[in-house]
Amino acid sequence: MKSEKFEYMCKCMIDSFLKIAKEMADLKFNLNNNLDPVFNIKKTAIIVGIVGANPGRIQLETNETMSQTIAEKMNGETLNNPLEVYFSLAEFANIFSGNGLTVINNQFPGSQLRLTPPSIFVGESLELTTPNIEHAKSVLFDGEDLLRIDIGFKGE
Amino acid sequence: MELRSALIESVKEIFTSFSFPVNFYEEREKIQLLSTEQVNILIGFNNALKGNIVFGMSNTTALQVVSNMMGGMKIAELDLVAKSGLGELANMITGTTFGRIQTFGLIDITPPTLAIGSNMFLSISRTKSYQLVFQTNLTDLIVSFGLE
Repeated sequence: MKSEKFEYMCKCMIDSFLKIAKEMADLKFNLNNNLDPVFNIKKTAIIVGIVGANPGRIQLETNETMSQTIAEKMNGETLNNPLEVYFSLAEFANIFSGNGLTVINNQFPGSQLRLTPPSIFVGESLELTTPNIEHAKSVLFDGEDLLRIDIGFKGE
Repeated sequence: MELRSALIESVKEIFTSFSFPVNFYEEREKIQLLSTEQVNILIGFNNALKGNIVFGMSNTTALQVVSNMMGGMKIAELDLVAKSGLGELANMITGTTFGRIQTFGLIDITPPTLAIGSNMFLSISRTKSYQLVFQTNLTDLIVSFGLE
């Protein structure tokens, strides 16, 4: 894939994340790839798959505190059930990924990209790898905590 | 053939082709959050069918499977080559499965993603998920799937 196209696709996703985080959770993030998120032992990862001419996946990695913050701000209430937190985070990832994908599909109509349902992984020392795809990691900071988005695509 | 049967047949066929026999012995119907193994390979799909499949196994089983795939080469750790091998294994099983089932169109699959850790939980569907449990010579292989 040409680097310009890959960078454009990644930018669409990050822009979409920033927009949806503001609209849905009133959270303002800044991109800062100089920071390195230190996840506590337990990590939550949401993976939204992409099919079409450029298959890939969007990975959202957060710690428990950030997961809770996003989920509670989205719902406007305290969430005591971890499952509600995970599902809210998955919905959040689904929405911003879908939004980003729409922009990409409009720019590259032949791509015909579509999402697969979000998967939630929670675990200790969780490490995620998608072999053989081009990917870029972005670190986002809301002033208090960090999260990471890893965007990957393959194909021409 | 429906997805469940096709998946069972394909898992048995592909693992056996790498001299790693597996026997299906249990199906569990689970709601939402599932506990899973140390090594998990996720493949999503969309179009004629939409959902996710996760192949879960212990580290020991994963190392042995990769070793068998590489003709018996000793594999000490899950490095990038080993992970690539496991991803390919999941691709082969998923591709074979979708070749077996009857749908009204093509099913596109995502590149495989490996999630490795401990005390792992996963959710692949907001509604119902199923787990197919296979016995191996080592630890169980757990194949989870969810459809939307």
